[in-house]
Amino acid sequence: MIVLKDVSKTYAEGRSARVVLEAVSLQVDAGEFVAVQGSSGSGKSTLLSIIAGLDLPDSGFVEIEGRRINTMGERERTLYRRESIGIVFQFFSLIPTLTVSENIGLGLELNSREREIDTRVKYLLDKISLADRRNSYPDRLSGGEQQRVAIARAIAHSPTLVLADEPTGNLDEETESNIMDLLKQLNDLQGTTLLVATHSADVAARADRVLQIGELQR
Amino acid sequence: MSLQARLPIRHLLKHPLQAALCIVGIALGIAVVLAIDITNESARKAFKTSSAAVSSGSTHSILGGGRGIDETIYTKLRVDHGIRGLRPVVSGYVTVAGSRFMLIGIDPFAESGNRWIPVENDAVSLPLLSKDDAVLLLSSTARMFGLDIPSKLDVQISGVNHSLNIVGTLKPADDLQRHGLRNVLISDISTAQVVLGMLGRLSTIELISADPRRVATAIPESVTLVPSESRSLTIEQMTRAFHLNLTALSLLALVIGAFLIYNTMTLAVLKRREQFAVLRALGMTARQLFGSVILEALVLAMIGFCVGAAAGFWLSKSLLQMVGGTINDLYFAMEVQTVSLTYTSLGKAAALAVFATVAAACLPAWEAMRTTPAFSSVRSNIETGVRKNNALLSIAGLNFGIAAALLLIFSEYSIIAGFGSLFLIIMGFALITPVLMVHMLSVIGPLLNRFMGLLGRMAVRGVGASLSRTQVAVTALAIAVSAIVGVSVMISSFRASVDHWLGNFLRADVYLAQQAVHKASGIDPTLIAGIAARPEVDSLSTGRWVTLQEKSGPIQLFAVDLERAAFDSYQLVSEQDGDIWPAFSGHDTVIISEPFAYRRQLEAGDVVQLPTDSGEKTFSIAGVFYDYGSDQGVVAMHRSTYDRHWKDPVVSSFALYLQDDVDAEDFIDRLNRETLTGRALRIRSNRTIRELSLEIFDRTFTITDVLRLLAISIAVVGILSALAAIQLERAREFAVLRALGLSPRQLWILVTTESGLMGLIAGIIACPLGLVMAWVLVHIINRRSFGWSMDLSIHPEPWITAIVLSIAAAVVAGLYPASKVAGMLPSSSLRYE
Repeated sequence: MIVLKDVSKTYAEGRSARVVLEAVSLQVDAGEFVAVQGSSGSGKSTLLSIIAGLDLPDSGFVEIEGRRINTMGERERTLYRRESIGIVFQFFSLIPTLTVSENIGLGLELNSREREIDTRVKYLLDKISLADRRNSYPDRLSGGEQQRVAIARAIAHSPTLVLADEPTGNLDEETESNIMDLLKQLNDLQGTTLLVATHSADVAARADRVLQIGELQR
Repeated sequence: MSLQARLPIRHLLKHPLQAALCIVGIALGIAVVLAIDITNESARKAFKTSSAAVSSGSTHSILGGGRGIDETIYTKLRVDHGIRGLRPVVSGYVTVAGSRFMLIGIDPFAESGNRWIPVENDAVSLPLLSKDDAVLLLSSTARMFGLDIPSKLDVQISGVNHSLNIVGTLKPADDLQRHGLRNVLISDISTAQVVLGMLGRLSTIELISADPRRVATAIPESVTLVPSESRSLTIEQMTRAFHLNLTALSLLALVIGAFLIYNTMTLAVLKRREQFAVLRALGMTARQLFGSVILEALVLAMIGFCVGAAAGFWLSKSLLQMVGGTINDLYFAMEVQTVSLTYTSLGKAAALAVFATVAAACLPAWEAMRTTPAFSSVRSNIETGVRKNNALLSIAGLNFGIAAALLLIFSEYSIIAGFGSLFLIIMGFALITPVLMVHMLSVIGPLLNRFMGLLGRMAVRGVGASLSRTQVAVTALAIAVSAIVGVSVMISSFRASVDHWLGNFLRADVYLAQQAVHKASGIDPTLIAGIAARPEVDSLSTGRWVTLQEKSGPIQLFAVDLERAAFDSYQLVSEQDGDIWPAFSGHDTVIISEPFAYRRQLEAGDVVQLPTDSGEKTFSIAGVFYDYGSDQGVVAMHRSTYDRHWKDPVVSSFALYLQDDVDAEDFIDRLNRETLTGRALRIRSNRTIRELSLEIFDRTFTITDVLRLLAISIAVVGILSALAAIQLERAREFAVLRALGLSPRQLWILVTTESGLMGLIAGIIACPLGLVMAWVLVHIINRRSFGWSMDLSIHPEPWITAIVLSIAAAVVAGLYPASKVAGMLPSSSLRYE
């Protein structure tokens, strides 16, 4: 499903350069739930950015479902991401001017699948137990509720891969547990591949496989 | 509604204050542009309709010199040459109950075949011929002035009253004619000749169906045959530069408005960077994001346009009075009463609103498009990027300056190119402003630290750390203030030049003139002789103003009988070598005013052709003199030269040089009492003329005060918008400061200091830009528009005003955000996220 081979990434910091990833290689199978762990600044977010096609590696290659992401043009990457990848951010990153329903339906709308929106959003709202908040704006929701909406948004268009960057980083233990139950349930039910960057041992414990980012580098 | 449309609209609804400020900025810019356009159009339309009242339906006009046309020419054309289809007209302005009316004298018999101005009973000749001093007017006009039909009508001309009889009403064929006839009185020719002092003369002979080639061969050399269209065009060209300058000033307001849009859109984009990054991560393409931002700007533009159009229409009513007054003061008599709003004006304003908005929003939209869809973005990276871009922008700014200089060098006479280079200079300065701002902050920082301690240091850092937000607002304010400085310096330079010129030019003690100096009948010669013989009078010089009609347009000629000493009052810009007085006083030699020389590209040593009573004659130009009295230009010649070529003994004005011990004002009182009672003469002392001239000068520039006020209002809105956005963004930072122990008052001082600092920087930057603008306005725009040259007069007041105004504007704009910040509950902001 995901193959990374010798992926390196360096960022310029003023006049010096900081190596974030150095010859990272990785393979994740379809339907697998993989947790990536590492200390702050170890490159977890950069790794997810490169897999999502949000950023490009300086060297090496990234293949998802046999398609080499790093050789695609910007527009092609955008369209691929739109269709096949779902993303969950640490700070929820809901669009404040859209309602809960609209936020969840965003991926479907961008993929021009408007006819599916109503059914799919209703189904997901039931799943995340927020049916009564469908017309609320994000600033009216608690942190846990916002993250549930963010997860629903990430999977609404049935992507084959969901990338989550510290999805429970800002949540209390109980909410974290509920969120991870939800993610795991989706992984099991839909066979979605799940790649989660996390500090949390509890989150990692639910994964099929845990990778330490330091060990991925040559 | 599509996602691309929903996102910007929801954003605007969620941030109504920000949207409202942007709308106010656009609306003010559009209001100024539209108001000026409506005013210009209304003035043009008023001129067209009033001239159409005289020349409606004619193909050509026969025009005479200053005294009009000898009426025997008309008789000869009809009787001797058998030419039909001619319309003799006598026209001039009279005053009725304080309003200006055009009195048009027509030949009822010539009119009967043409149906030029129909009357209610469909018989033109009867009412006009049935009674002495009979006039016709529109029934609506009669109602407006509460006049009965029939009734007496008192009209005034040159201070003399005439009693006319209203005998009937006019029946206009259509709305255009109704509009043109609103302030018109129709009489027969002889009545008009008596009232207007034109016995035996006609104003024009209009060709309705007569063959112009036949007429051209039949008329004497003392008159000119011109196409009717060219006459209107010439008069329209007279005010072209005036209208153009007003339009340019109004566009300046729009440029500042565009900066405001740019400011608002940039802030809106920067604030939503994270949101855009999420959208990009979710699959929105760069192009979709670009379109969404542009759409947001367009929504604002359209609302701004609607508000601005209403405000502009309202504003135009006030401006019309000012512009109408200026046209009457400087160009020709005209009554502008109706505000004429056309679809073209509205269309132009809408197009400008859309263009300015889209142009201003393009950069922020591009910025949004470039948003990197990463999992995290660091704010400091944005500010670092801004600082890097600023270096490039300042290089671009310098290039704009070079382009402006090249444009000025290679476009010798074009006013549009002059304004183009002014625009390039403004843009160049705008691009350099951010770099200047950074340097100034590094200089001001230690000073504020010394005087205000922590708060001063934090204020400087606050402005510097939010460069992406603050620099556009500072630029907009700097441009608005520099426009005020530039225009103020230009006006004060102009005023100083006019004052100096008047001081030199007005050498005589008392001036007497006919109320209408171009009248065919002049001042009674016995009166002149009587006044000259008075013991208080040392000497006098006489003058005769005439308008010569040439194919290229009218030429103002001033024939002056003066002595050598008085001739020195003409300050010469350039002259032929040697003493030019002998040639001027004894030969066919003239001196021309600077605008005349500039417009016709003439100089001392050249020749000018003038239409005399015996056909066109060539006159040598001995010198070019300063003259701020008319932007159309004047040809001055000695009276003896005039008498050799024109059979016109009339004197229309004269100047008296009094004995040393005679007080001019006392002498005027005595003269008024003893000699001038009942005469249509205007008598003024040297001092009064000077004061009146400067009063007219100041009235001419009143309109720029309005425009300057609007420009600064737009800039204040810009600063307010920027500060409000910055404070909103830094709410958490301020909450932390409050939590750490900063009092609400200290927070208020911090925010107000930041605003004041932005104002100070804008004010300092505005000074050099204002000076450059003043230089361009004085030496390029004024020169190319009106042909005047003048010195740049620099006083400290405009610069002090610039800095004080700039700080005041910024502090006023910062008051609301400062109070909001000081009054907020820190807990609410600290809970966020």
